[in-house]
Formats: sequence, C-alpha cells, structure tokens
Amino acid sequence: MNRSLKIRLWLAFGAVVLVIASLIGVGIAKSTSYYLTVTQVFADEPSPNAAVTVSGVIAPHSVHWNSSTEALQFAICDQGKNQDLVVDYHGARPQDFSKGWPVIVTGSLINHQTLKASNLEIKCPSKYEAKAPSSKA
Amino acid sequence: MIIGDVGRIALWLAMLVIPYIWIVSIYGVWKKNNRLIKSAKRAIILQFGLIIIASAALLTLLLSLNFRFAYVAEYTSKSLSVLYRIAAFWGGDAGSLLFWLLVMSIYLFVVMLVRHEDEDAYKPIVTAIIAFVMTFFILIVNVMANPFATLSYTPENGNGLNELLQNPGMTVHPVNLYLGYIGFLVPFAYAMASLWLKKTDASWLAITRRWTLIAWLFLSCGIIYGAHWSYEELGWGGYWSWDPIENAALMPWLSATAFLHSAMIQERKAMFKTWNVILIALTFMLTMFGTALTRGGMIWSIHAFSNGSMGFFFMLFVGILALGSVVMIVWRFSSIRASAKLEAIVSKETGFLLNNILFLGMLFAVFLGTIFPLVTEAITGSQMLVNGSFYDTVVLPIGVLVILLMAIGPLLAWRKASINHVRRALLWPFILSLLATLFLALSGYRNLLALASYFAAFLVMLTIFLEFTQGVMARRQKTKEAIVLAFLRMIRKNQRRYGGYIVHLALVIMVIGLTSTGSFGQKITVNLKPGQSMSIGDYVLLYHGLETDFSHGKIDLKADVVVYTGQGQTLGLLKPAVTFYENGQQPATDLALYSTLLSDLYVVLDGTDNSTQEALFDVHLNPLVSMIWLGGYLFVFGAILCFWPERKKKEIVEHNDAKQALLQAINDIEDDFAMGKIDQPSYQMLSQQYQKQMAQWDDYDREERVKIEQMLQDEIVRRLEVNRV
Repeated sequence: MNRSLKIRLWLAFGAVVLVIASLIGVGIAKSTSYYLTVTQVFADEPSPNAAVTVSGVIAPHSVHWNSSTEALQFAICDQGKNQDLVVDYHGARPQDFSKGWPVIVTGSLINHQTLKASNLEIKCPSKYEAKAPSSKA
Repeated sequence: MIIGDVGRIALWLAMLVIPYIWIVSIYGVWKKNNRLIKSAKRAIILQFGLIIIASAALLTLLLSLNFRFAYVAEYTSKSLSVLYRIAAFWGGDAGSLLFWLLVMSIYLFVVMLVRHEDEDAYKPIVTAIIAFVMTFFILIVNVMANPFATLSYTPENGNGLNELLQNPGMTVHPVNLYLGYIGFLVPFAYAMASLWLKKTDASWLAITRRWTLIAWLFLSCGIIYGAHWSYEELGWGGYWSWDPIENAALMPWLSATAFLHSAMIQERKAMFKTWNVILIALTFMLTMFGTALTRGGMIWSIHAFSNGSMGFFFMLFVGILALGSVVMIVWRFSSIRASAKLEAIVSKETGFLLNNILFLGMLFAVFLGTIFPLVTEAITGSQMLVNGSFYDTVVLPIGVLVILLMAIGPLLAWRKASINHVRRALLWPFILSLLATLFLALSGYRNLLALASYFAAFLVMLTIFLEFTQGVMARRQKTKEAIVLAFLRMIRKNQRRYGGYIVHLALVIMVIGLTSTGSFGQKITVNLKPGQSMSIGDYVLLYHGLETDFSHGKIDLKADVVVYTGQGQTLGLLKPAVTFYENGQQPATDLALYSTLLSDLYVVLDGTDNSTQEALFDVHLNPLVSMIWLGGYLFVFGAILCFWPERKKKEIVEHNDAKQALLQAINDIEDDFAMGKIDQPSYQMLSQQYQKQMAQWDDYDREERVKIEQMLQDEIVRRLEVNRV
C-alpha cells in the first residue's frame, strides 16, 4: 500500500470514527439520568429538577387515580423498607396498579419526597423469577 | 424418584467426563499420542449420551408433572398443556442451563462427526475448547442450579408457567436465541485452533462458514421473533425498547454481521486475518456476556430475570476466555499477519472495512449504553442510565450509513473498483430514490432522519434490482436461456452472492417498516363511555361496553369496540381485554389488532370503571409494521440460500476448501466483467493470476496423487510379502 493511499484511508476512516464518537457524545449529553433506589434518593438527596431514574415497588394502598385528568399518584419504596417516595405521573394507569409490583420511573424531583415522572415502566413477567422453594439437592 | 436420580447421576458423571475430554485431548496433542486422542473421542460420545439421558429425565419429570422436584413445581401445573410443559424445559434458570448444555453437547458431537480438510489436526483442539466451555456449564448445573433438586414435600399443584409466557413464541424465541448464541462457540473454537496450529490460510473460515451463518440466522430469528412476540403480547405498542436484555442479543448480532463481511476478505484476499479472529472471539464473548446479563442482576432490566449471583461467575468465565483469546492472538500475531494489502481507496475491501467500522461503532454505542450504570458508578460513585433516545441518536444515523453502504458495496469490484462504473450504476437509482423521497417529503412526511432512511432503502432496492437484471442479461447473452431459467440458474450458480442480496433486500424492507412505525406512528390515549367514539388516521372506533367472563382462577374483562372507516363502512369488532388472576399475579393484557399490509390498528384496554362502564384505551396506528415481519421471512430465505449446499460438478466436489474459494473467485470476476464492474485489463490480470494459482493447486494435487499411489503400491507389496512369509 503506497503512502498517500494509506494517509487517505486513515483520514477517511478517522473521520467516520470521529462522527461516531461525536454522536455518542451528543447522545450521552441529552439522555442520561441518575439511577437510584428509593433509599438512595433519601440518602443522597439529589438536587431538585435533576433527571433521575428510580426503581422500587409500589407501596400498598398508595395509588390515587383521576380518570378525567389522567393524573396518577402513587408511592414507591424499596422491598422491606418503609421510606416512601411519592410519584406524580400523567398518563394511562395500568390495570390493578397496586400490588407491590416492581416499577422504574424516570423524571425529576420536585422535592426530596416527590418525583414528577415523565416515564413509567413496569417489569415484564419473569422467566427466571427466583421464588426459591425450600429444596435439597 | 428413579427418573430424577438417573438424571442427577447422569449430570454427575458428565461432570467427570467433560473435563476428561479437554484434558486428555490437549495432553494427547502435546504428546502426539493418538491413543489419548481416540480416548477423548470416545468420551465425546459418552458425554453426549449422558446429557441426552439427563435432558430426557427432566423432560419426563416435566411431562409427568412430578411436583416433588422443585423445578417441575416452579414452572408447571396441572392445567398446563403438553406444549408448555415441554417449553418449561427452558422456561426456568436450571432447565435453561441444562438446555444450553444439551445444545453444546449436540454441537460437539456433530463437530466430531463432520469430515473436513485437515480434521486430524483441527478436531482434537476444537473439541477440547468446546469441552472446556462445557465444563463451566456442567459445574454451574451441578453446583448452583440443579434441575433435579427436590422439595422436602410434594405440593398438590405447581406454580405453572407465567401466562404471558404461554404463547407459541415461548417455543420459538428462546430456542432460537440459544441455538444462535451457542452456535458461535464452534467458529470461535476453530479460530483458536487455527491460531494454535499456526494456520495462515482461511481454512478455518471455510470449514466454519455454515456454522457461522446458521448461528447468525438463529440469532436473527430469535431477535425478530422476540420483537414480534413483545409487540403482539405485551401491549405497549412497540417491539424494541433498548433494554439491556434486548441489547444483549443485539450486540453479538452486530459483531457477527461485521465478521460475516470481513471473513469474505480473508477468504478472497488473505487479508484481515487477525481482525477476523478478534471479531469471532468478540462475538462469542458477547454471547457469554449476554448470558451473564440475563442471569446476573448486575444491571436493572425491565425483563425480570433471575437476580442471583450466577452472573458473577459468568463474568469471571468471560474474563478467563477473553484473556485466553488475547494470549493466543498475541502469541501467534506474527504468523497471521496479512499477506496482501489494500490497493485502492475505492474497492470492495475498503467497502467491507467501512462496514466493519460502522457495525463496531453501533456495537460500541450499544455496549456503552448497556453498561453505562456500571461505568458511571466506577468513575463518579453514582449510577447513571441512558434512555432510549441515546440509542436513537447514535445507532439510527449509523444505521442509515450502513444502508447507504449496502447500496454501493455490491457495485464495487475487488482490488480496485471502476469509479465510472459505480457512478453509472448509481445514477438512475439515485435520481429515482431522490424523487421518491421528495414525493414523501411533499406529502407531509417531514422527518429528516426518516427521509434519509427511506432514501437509502430505495437506493438499495433499486441497485439490487439492477444487479439481478444485469446478471440475467449477462447470462442470457452467454447462454441464450429464457429469462426465468436464466434468473434461477444465475442464483443457483452463485447462491452466496444472490442470497446475500436477498438478505440485504429483506433488511431494507424491514428498515422501511421500522422507520415508518418509529417516525410516523400515532398514539392516542382516550377515556370513552359506552356509545362514544374516537378517530385515529382513517379509522373510527365506537366503544359499546364491557363484558366480564369468570373462569377458573381468573376474570377476563373485554371491551367491545367496533371499527369503521372514515366513510362509515364497518370493518370489524375488536375485543381488547385484560385478565386478572385470583392468585394476585400481575394482570395480563390481551391487545386487539386490526392488521393490514399498510398499517396496524392496535388497541389496548388500559383501565376501566366498572360502575360507569367507562374504559381507558391506548390506541396506536402503526404504519407498515407488516414490512418488518415480511422482511423477516425474506431474510430467513436469503440466509438459507447463502448456506444451502451449491450444486457442483463432480470434479469441484473433490477439491478442498481453499480450491473451492478460488473457483468461486474466478466465477465472481467473470460475472463482474460481464456486468461491467471491472474493465478489460483488470479482468485479464485477475484472471491470469487466478489461473496461475489454480495451476499450482493442480500441480499440488498431482504430486499428492503420485504420493498416495506410491504409498498404496508399497503397502500392497508389503502385504504380499507378509502373506508369502
């Protein structure tokens, strides 16, 4: 391979790599959020309006739903812990939304106890769900 | 209990036999001791028998609903149909690991049986590597996830398989993924064996070409079917959410696709030797990494897989394999350096190189996005996530570039492409694609990335169409055959090339579907009282009311929705439903779909108020979704065509793999010249070069034949003398 061909190839492929790297940079800048559990929200106290993603389970008897305004409010907590984070969400209410399901919510904190969620996801059913019956090999 | 004991004992014995295979094989190779190698071969047959016995035992327990066994009680129940009792084999953690072992065991057995060039040198090492990987799995199955573990009591009934998993998809999607994932173990093992043996040619690629293509096809089917299942079953209106578990299947697919392309350069031009070994090793590592993700609980996923400690051991094993691969590559680096170099800036070689950079760029982005929480935690102490828009920002534009390359790549000739030919060949497809894209933009479809994607897809379709028509015309000039016959024989003569084009065509059809739903899909969430209607696109939906069905252990709530066209013509009744379970299990959504070739009307019942019969609906209008699934079928056809054995003349069958690759190269340049892709001087030069290589092979064959004849003669003389004595 002659020298000028080598240089041209390096330049061309280098440009492609640069484009990919800048796309990754732009992507990260506009789509990241802190990922926390409910306990961490209370412990770390992230700054208000910071984008956060919080995972937890729906706290019992915490779901309030207004069908005319499609306003859904509920609280999430960590399994076995009693600190509740209130979540305000505007959108469709999933069926029977009350039984300690694991959820993941993304949004921003209004204050240390309330999160305004822009996205709500519920874990899909398990394939390898571990229920650990008492067993002996 | 006897069946369970048999299964358990078979797994224990397999834990002894499988390590025996690789230890004895490697020692046999080292000491050049054929007796040991033969012993390892017998152990391969034995492990195959043992794993089959263990699998048959588990299947029998599942079918007979023996709830004494924890795995059976966990994943089956009395009401479960036979089909899903079988599917429960891979429906849980322990069973799916045994299923992995079963597939690896079958692959190992087949590798041992399939004859190929230089097999005496390759096979002991290849089978040792496969057995080494199996050792990890047999240890995990015996120590951490034994499907034959028993309960201290026998429950009346089992938990049963989750309702959402009771879908025909459950029989297809995981099996395809496993077959694909595990399939890459074989080319990986051959690549490592080739390094060990200091093989400088592309023989390992020729031997494993079918293995790689089949694994890649299974993985592709697994991904497409998973997306289809998610779309039709889960009721969120989409088919891909960039979840870590989905990414875990996509990553090896991306590296394997890059490998399939760069392997062609090594086969044809003896270049990229190290690169190909790295790519196949990376692909296999990514399949193991994906398994670690699904078993690990290292990263939060919307898919609720097990959260045990098994992921740690998988990651440890990936680390060991990666380290071993790096050591092998560095150790043999000098012997696998390329013997040829790039000769021009525009050629098929540079096209493939660009293809590799783009695929690896996508892979890096997906990998980074997937492990982003771990990376940020290591750097900043806090975990951060990227959402779907990260992947859309990075992967979609690179995807469009890949499609553009798909249009140009097939027009490029090896070594040095005629730029004038590329320009000429692209002119009309370019003008027509531009006009079609402008028409779409003027019709109101104004999303820059979507328009770029449509443009690239149209360009690929037109260039493929021209490739086929020019190919047929060139053949007809030579053979004077009828068009259909010339078309069929042209494909039959060069299945790899035209199968590849069909795969490209299928992918762009899928891209049109993905772009249309992703950019121009509509979604409306609406609360309706009985008698109220809503409209979306050209459809009007009239809600009539709710029906409730009580059946054993569950309540079905169904909404009656009649669909009309905008002109008032009745199209049908849709019944989106929700099933509630008395055992408190998460309710299952049963969405209703009115599907046509042009769009899907997708209705989900989201919430109800039983007192007023009000219902909340999520209504999606997804344009051209059918293209994704139809493209999927065409993709399978194209991929099968690529690895389906080609009909060869008798003398070609007798040639070895390298000679077959040379014949294929001669075939290709003849086609390229007939279609004007390369000029007369290039054609003559290449043709002479290949003929010279072929003559060298013929000389070699002749010498070999003389040697064999001499050996035969000596043997006959020896035996005659023995008889005389």
